[in-house]
Amino acid sequence: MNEGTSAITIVTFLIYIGGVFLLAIFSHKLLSKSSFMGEYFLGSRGLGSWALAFTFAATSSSGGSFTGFPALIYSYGWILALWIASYMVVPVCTMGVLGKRLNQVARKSGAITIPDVLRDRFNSTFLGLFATCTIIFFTVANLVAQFKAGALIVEETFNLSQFFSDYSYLWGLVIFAVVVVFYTAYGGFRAVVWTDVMQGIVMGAGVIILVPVILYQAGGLTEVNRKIRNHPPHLVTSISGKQNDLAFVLKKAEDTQEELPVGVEYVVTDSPNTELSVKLDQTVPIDDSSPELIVRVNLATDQNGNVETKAEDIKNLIEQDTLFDRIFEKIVYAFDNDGSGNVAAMSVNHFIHGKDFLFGPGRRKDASPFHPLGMGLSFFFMWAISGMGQPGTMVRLMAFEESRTLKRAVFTVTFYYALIYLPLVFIFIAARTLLPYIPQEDADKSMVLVATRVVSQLGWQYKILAAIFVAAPFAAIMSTVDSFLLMISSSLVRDVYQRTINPNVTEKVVKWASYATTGIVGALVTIAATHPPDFLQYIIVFTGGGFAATFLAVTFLGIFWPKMTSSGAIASMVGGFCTIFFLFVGEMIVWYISSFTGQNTEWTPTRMDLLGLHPIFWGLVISFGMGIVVSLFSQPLPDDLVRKYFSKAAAE
Amino acid sequence: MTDTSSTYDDPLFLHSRREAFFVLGLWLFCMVWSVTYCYRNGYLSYAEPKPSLTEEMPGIVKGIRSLPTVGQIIGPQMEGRERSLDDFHSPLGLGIPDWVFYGIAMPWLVCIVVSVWWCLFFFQEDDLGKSEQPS
Repeated sequence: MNEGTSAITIVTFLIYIGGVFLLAIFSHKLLSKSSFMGEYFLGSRGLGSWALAFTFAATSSSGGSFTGFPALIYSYGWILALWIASYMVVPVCTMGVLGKRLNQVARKSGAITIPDVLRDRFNSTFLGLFATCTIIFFTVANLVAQFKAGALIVEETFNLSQFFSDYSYLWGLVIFAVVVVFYTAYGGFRAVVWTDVMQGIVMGAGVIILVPVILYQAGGLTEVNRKIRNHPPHLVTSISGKQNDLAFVLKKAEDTQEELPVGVEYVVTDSPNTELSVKLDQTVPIDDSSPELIVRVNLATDQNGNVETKAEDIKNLIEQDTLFDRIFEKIVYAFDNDGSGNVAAMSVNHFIHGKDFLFGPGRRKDASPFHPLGMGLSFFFMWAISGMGQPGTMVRLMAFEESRTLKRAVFTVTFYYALIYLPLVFIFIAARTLLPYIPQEDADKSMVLVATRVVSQLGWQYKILAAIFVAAPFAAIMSTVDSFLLMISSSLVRDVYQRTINPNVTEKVVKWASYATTGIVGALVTIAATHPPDFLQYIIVFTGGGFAATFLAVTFLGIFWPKMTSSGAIASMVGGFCTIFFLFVGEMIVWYISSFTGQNTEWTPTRMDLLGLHPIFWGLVISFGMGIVVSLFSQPLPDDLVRKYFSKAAAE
Repeated sequence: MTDTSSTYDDPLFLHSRREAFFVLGLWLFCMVWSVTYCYRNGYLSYAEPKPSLTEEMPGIVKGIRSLPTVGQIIGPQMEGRERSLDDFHSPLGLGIPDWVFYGIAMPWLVCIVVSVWWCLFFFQEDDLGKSEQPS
């Protein structure tokens, strides 16, 4: 069976899936008791404190919280505490700034989606449709990636390759799609929220239990820091193919007279029949920096020029050389490599020292800083400010029943995040000493490996806890997918069809259109996920920033600034969207133009971090700036429309 | 022109605006404290990422990549001591490095207290009004 797969894990999965089906059925019963549209897409604005708190927490705590974040902690150490630090104000920011006022504004016009709110506040059909198109653009791209991720988890967990061989991924995709589309389509908003509550409670409890277990196994944080501090410099490298990742551990400088290399470089040529060789060499800098001593490994190739070197070959060759005794402490196989790594050809992977984990800025394998000052500032915008601008969280703010609900939810989530995020840092710092030498390419599996290799070995009762953490990424993906599915469905049915094409549609038609749209979108995404196009990756990485840059300024200014105009709103949204788009894909556009015009394309386009600041910063600056400036110089909205939202008399 | 500012008197709007600005002020304080403290007290070095420049790149790409970073512009004014393993320690024997303890953990505790205070004493439980039926 695969890593993480055991009978208990499968049972945990099945219990979770059974639970969401039951919630969907129960939620469906409520659909007949009130207005369908309001209940299906907004739970009839009846969310209580616990539901609001946990759906907020679960929506914010996506798959990244339990895979990507632990992976980064494992790879870069204590600096991740600064990376995540803005979560100290995320609850009060994401709920407290917009919550009460957005809820009121939505009630005034009966809005049940964010495009609804914008359309009514600014009396602009164009604005509503632009908002809808933006939501669909980002959400569909994300859904395809999420469906793929969910399918892979189902495939691995249930070991489908044993039953379906080459079609195992396809079956994993079908199973995942059927489960998530059914309960979302059938249950609507309440089913989505209640599964979030279930996930939030389980994950929160799981992390709280995991902290003392892991820290006890590791000997406490003081001991962990001591081990990290005293560990010799090391590096885990990857070559494609299973069991092909090596961990190089250097001698400490005080234990040898030799000059120690700063890193290892794998060299791959296109020439056929080259031999494996290893030697100490100097780098050839392309700028004015000094040459550095490295270990250069020329990989062997076969008659077709393909790499045929295995990790074992490199290890044996070095161990037979006097090189080994002079500079290396040891060379071992990396922890649990499964062949997902690829050679980083012609680049030096630098040894990482213990101090790089104990202090900032953290060091990447290419020796560049992980979290320099600009990123430190940017990530305070990333979670707390950008988090306010996600349509998925904004729509939840429209769904609670009274002000007191919001207050209690802020209170709850404040403690929830405090109990989750810093403790996760403790757990995965400790994991470095319990599970050393996980390749960085596999660090996403840190959570699963901690669960299966450490926790589940402690006894049968811990296997259940371990199974929860193996299932956690799956639950997090489902939580994201159901919200996105409902967002697209509401956009198409409510914003496009009902409000633009056919305002007189009956509730019965709306009902079946809602079910059908959710189902059809799910089916189309499933088909796309069988062969996801490469360009999707470029859309996905800027979804969070894209949403925030497009929606936050217009919503914030719209509900707090009476002088915001519809022109200002449009300028804000378009400006924010374009800024994020060009900062993320601008270099790629230049690269494609270069390729069409025959210019040199021997360079790699990347995201543009202007002045070292993340694009989200610039997206927010531009969207707020344009919203304010254009509003000041454009035609104001009619007085009665503004008074409707800002005047006491109108409220009464 | 009629002064309409006095008509923007919806109590919920006024209260929520006050609450929002308080929260944003709290966010700003946390960002300045945490980033400044950690940068000055928790960084091994103040090296900034080097731009990857090659001859093959178009001029516009090289130009943008060559722009200075925030760390290069204001970093030198913010730099504190460069840390080393010799001065690594954790307050109260908790195992949390000192710069994480004072730069992140302590402000996090303060935020919890302030957030609780905001919920219990600052936040107004305004009536949200009746909900119009979806049009």
